[in-house]
Amino acid sequence: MIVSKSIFVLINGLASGMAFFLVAAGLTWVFGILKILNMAHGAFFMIGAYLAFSIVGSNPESMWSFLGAGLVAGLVVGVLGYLTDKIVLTRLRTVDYHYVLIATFGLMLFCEGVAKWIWGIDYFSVMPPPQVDQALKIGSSYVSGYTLFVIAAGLVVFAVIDTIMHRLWVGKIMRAVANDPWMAGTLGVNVPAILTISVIASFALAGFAGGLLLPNQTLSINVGSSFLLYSFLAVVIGGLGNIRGTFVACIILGVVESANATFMANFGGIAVYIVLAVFLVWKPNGLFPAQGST
Amino acid sequence: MVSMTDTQGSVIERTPMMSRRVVGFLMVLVFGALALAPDLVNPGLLFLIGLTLIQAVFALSWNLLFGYTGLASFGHAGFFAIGAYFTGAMLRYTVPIPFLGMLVIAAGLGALVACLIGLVALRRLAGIFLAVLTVALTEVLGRLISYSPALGEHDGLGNIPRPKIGLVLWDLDLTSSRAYFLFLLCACSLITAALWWLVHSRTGRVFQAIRQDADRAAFLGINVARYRLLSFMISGGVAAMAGGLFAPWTRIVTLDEVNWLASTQPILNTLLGGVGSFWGPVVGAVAFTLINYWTRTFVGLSEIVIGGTLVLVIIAAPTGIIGLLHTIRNWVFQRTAGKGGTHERLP
Amino acid sequence: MTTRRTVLKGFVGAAGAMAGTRINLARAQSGPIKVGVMYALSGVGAPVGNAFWIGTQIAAKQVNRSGGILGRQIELVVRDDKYNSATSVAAARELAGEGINLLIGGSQTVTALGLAPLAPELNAVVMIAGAAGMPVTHELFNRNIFRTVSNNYTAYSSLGRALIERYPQVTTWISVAPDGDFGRDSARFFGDAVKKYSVKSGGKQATVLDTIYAQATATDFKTQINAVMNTEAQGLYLGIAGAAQISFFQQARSVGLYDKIKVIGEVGNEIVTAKALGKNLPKDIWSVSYWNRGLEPFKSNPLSQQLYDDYVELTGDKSPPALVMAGHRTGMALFEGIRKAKSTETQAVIDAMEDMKIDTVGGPFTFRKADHQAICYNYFAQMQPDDVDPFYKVSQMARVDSAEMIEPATPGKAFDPNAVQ
Repeated sequence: MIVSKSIFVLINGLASGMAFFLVAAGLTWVFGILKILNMAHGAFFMIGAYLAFSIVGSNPESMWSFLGAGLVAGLVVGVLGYLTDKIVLTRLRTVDYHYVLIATFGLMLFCEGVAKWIWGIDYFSVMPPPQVDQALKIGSSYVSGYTLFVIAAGLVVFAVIDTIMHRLWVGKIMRAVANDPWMAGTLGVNVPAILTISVIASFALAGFAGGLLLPNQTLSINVGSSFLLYSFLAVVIGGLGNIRGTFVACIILGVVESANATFMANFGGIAVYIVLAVFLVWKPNGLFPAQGST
Repeated sequence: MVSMTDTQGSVIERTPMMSRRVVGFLMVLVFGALALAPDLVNPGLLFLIGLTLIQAVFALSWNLLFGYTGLASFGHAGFFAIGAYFTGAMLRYTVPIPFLGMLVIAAGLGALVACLIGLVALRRLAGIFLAVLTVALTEVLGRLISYSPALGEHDGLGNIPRPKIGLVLWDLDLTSSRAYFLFLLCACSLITAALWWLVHSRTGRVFQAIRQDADRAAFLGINVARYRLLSFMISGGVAAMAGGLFAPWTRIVTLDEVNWLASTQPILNTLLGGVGSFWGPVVGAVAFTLINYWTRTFVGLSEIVIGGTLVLVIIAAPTGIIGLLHTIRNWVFQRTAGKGGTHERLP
Repeated sequence: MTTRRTVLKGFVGAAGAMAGTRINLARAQSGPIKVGVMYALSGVGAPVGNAFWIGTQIAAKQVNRSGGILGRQIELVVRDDKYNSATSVAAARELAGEGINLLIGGSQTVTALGLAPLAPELNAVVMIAGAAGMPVTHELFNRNIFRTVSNNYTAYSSLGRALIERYPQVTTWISVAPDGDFGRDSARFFGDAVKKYSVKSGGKQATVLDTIYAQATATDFKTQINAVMNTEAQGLYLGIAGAAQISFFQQARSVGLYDKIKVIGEVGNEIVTAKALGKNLPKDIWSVSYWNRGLEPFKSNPLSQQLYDDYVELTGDKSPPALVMAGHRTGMALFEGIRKAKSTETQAVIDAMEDMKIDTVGGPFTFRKADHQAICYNYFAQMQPDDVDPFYKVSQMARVDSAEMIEPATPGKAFDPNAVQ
């Protein structure tokens, strides 16, 4: 009984973790490079989800139309990211991060208001594309094909970002800017451009995640908020903008949450915060602290 | 004009808008007007004014931490909720403690919790980590309340009676809105006066020294950790006392007071009013109430209005309403010393 | 898309107009009769609050069209309670301060709990339109409040009874409910009724398994669904509401719960869920409902047709949520009370409503004198997926009379579930 439950906890936890990661990836990217925690990230995730839904409808015909809708949503939200950067964030590059936090919070409310105006307050639902719309049974665990798809998507996105960050020259420049923007600038790196590109990439990731995670839950104006909080926790546990740390933190949070719901159902939703508190005290600089921090 | 630069090079104007005598005169005037409010305004508006007084004190408690000590709590609603649920439960279950005693215990509880968090966290944590830790702990508090039947779970603790205060010579019955409002006004004024005195005392100056440059302050022999803890405790205690005053005013306390949106309220009020001024949070609370009041019939637009206002304030008037007034005054009087309208800049 | 936006626009327009015409100080005996309305019109409670608000507006329009009451028109003064008790309390005080003593509110339990104790202080009549929580007519009872909807006990016992009487072959039941008073109680009332009426209707006693709890606003229910899949249950009561319920069904469908569970009783999302899921709706789901104009007993009721016509005229939408009827009924109950009292004075209206029997869209309607609890028919809508737009259909309505399913009145005292076995 315990064994079969544990298998379920692991599969489900991994799936939740990857869902958190799809959202947190963009968040941690911007956090690492611009040192700002974007409170509006969940709102842009939500906009991406609505865009993808508007393209693909409730019953995607194929995997390709589903993925395509996600990509288009990602592109559009990336453009919104560019606009946000030009109108709001560039003006706040040099101010105390608390102000940026409040500005992005305001942006979040604004986006929710606008989305409500465009799409209304009704709920929508989207089903997984037919290729992954099967029920599977592993031992006594009932798992859907879509759950496995989310796990795979999370792994692929991680692999791509990690390769960019640690293998390609773009990533190396980004890490240089993250570590010391002044030094990078004197060495001839176009720092403002790198910052803008990071914002665009982060927003595009949020929009794409919105499309991919549509079949996971109801589409409503509040769809981003549940993911946002977990993503914050993951970014903080993982360490300042460290993509690998965030990835591991997401898996930990997902599995803890899943175990909490399975074994301590009467106190659901508490364990992740205890884990967070433990990590903050035990490893205040995150799982993979940035170089130079103590 | 005094301007100060801290480690991050941020400049905060602490130039008073008006001389202290004018401020004092203004305060007496405002107090007098508010004391007449129960006889002059609609009870609904009176209720909102009462809420604004509480929000103002709550925001002042947050700004003591942020504006004066340089620490940002993003879970301040947790302290507020501790006070609100405590007095709410005490009154609801008619525990025989005098109401003033309840408020003092509520403040003590808030300070105690702040102390515990601070002992574990403040030494190592600052910035975003403290922000996220306080958010997380507040979320845990909310969950715990939602699991306790005595505190009303998801439905909230309702039907809270208003207290009677037994003073030495006579009993003060605060059951009516009018009586409780006057009590609330006195209590909030006293707390505000105490905070004003604190930030202008030696301790307050130490707080500011830490905010500007913790390392240099330590070098000068200031025990930075202890003063940060003290500031955190006072801030938590005052927030809890604000919560304690809130429960009998609304007569219901719900989980809406514990979530992270509630925690952003004092932050918004402070920034809207202006971080650099003691009165900023108060001005912000009033401004926020006015925005809410004017938009209360624009159904469905409140997010756009509030969100848009915040973004605009941060971009266009980062020093808040008071800073903006300052800039305008400088401009009008051609005193172009004006850093009044700039951000706290990094080097 | 168009219809929804039209609804929103019409609605905002109405609110704006209301703001414009809101002039202070109701004149005592002339001019329109002002009625304060407080529903959740923004935030997570908005889908529910909007439906109530539309229904109440229609009630006022209908009364005004037929010449008003006591020769005066009804004027609604609306406030958004934001699904927040403090905002709701502020709104009630403001409205009372403008001299309005007739209030409608409490589209959800949270706001009702704030309003109920306030009513005597404001010397106002407060109609609680949608809150099912037991305290409203028990420990919080006072003579100023009237609940126009069935309470938790009546509603969910009735649902359990309606289902077990129609599905005697389903012998094992389970509930998934939100943690907290409401969820725990509704699951218990449902389960108790299933057990009781399985025997009463001549069969063997049905098995009711332990309730599985979840967080009310969660987005992930895979753990709870997996637990259900590992039981013998063939019947399910789902106490999760709102957006979370739709998430539950999305996730349940993808692991095959629709094939395992023969019948589902649901807390009251009704066509909110059906609209969102369309052809992915479970094959047989019964919802707490109030109204469906196309089905008996409503089809032959002219009041129902009138409500529908006015709904279409007001909103431009053609598929009204059933809650519109609950908002309409609430308005009608208050207006009839005023008519009967021949006065708008608080005491007179209270006295009149205590002994009043009115005809509503859903049939005869009275308040129980002792605790002001509405006694009416409880309707349950059977919903099924469909092949043509809108891809779902409401197949039939079941109804259970409150009078047979109501708990003893204990005004002022908490409801004791053990006393009603």
